[in-house]
Amino acid sequence: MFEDDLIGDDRLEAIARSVTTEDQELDTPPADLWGAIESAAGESAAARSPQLDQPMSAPSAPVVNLAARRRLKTLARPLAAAAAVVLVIGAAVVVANSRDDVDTTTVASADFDVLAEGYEGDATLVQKDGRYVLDVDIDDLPAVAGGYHELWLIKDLETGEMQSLGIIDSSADIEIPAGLDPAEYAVVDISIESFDGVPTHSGASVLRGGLDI
Amino acid sequence: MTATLQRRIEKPAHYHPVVADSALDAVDPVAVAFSEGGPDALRRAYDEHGSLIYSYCRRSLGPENGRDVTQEVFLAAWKAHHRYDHQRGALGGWLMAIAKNKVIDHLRASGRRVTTTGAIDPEAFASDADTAGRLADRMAVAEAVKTLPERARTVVSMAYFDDLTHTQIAEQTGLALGTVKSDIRRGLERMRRHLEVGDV
Repeated sequence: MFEDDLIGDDRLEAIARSVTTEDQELDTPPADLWGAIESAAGESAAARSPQLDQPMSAPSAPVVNLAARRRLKTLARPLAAAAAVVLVIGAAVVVANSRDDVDTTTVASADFDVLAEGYEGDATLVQKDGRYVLDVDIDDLPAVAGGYHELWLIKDLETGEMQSLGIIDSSADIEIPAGLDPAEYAVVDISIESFDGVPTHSGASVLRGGLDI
Repeated sequence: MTATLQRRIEKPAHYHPVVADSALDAVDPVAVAFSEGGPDALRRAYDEHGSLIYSYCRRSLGPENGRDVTQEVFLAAWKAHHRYDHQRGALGGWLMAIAKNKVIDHLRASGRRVTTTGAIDPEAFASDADTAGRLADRMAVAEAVKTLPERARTVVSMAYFDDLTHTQIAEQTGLALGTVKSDIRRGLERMRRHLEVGDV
């Protein structure tokens, strides 16, 4: 919309003054309406070409399906090609860096692609005292209404296999849990999540980067 | 020797700047997820805005057609989710704009007329396009006010729903006049975000 087309304060105020008590009260939709919408949306999604398909996640789905498969299509091929690359600890490069800890070995790094304006950063996977640490260097993240930012390691964007590393709101060194092999995870991702009690990835990523090995 | 594979990740086709309304506002994850077409994004949008859309459709068209058109609205919105830009407008406002269009189309197709008092007569329930349009605007504005932080919501309600002057509001709430004015400014911006929705 151009400046000239902005709705003027006068018109807004006129509408606001005409709002009635009833306008402010809402009715609850029929209980079965969502089911009808959901199945109709699922049908039309299935009818579309697979490339454009937006999968609706089933409640019983065992894996998380990241949405926006358009995005996945461009990523799938290079990642699949690199999936066979194994992280070789012995060949990791020892980098003289500005870190205080000289026992830190840089293993891999990811420059984040910015998926939403205002976000920026990168992540470096280091090995320190026998443990893997993901050093996430990002500008302080904005507040999220009714939600938070979450950090993920994604194994496979196609299948949506991933591991949450928890809530993040600023640069941090995240220790990778023992038993999680970072070599299996190709992508570092930061998403916006709601406090809705749903643990799966919302699909709303703000930063994402491939770990270059 | 370690091979270095640099995997370039392309920017997604739809680049959504995330900009807050003001320093005190924050991004709406339901709106962001919806624009990106995330899993459960449609359900979450329905949880958040289903009552608003249904109420509007029902009041314009009656319970049966209201239900049907509500379904049409969410399906159309979902199909066009990539055209929703959460920076340009609130999701509730965008959905209401779709609902307004669908209600008006329905009314024109059925050629029915309005009762301005909104009296619900199951036999002859009808609404005309102009009334339905005004109702959509009022309900979108009412929704916008609901999304304000509590103090601004109170001030804005007093100003426009109770018709108090800024001075009266300041006296009754104990707030500084400047605070009242800035809350009202903020309320108007929020209303604008709910009515100006860009490409629908």
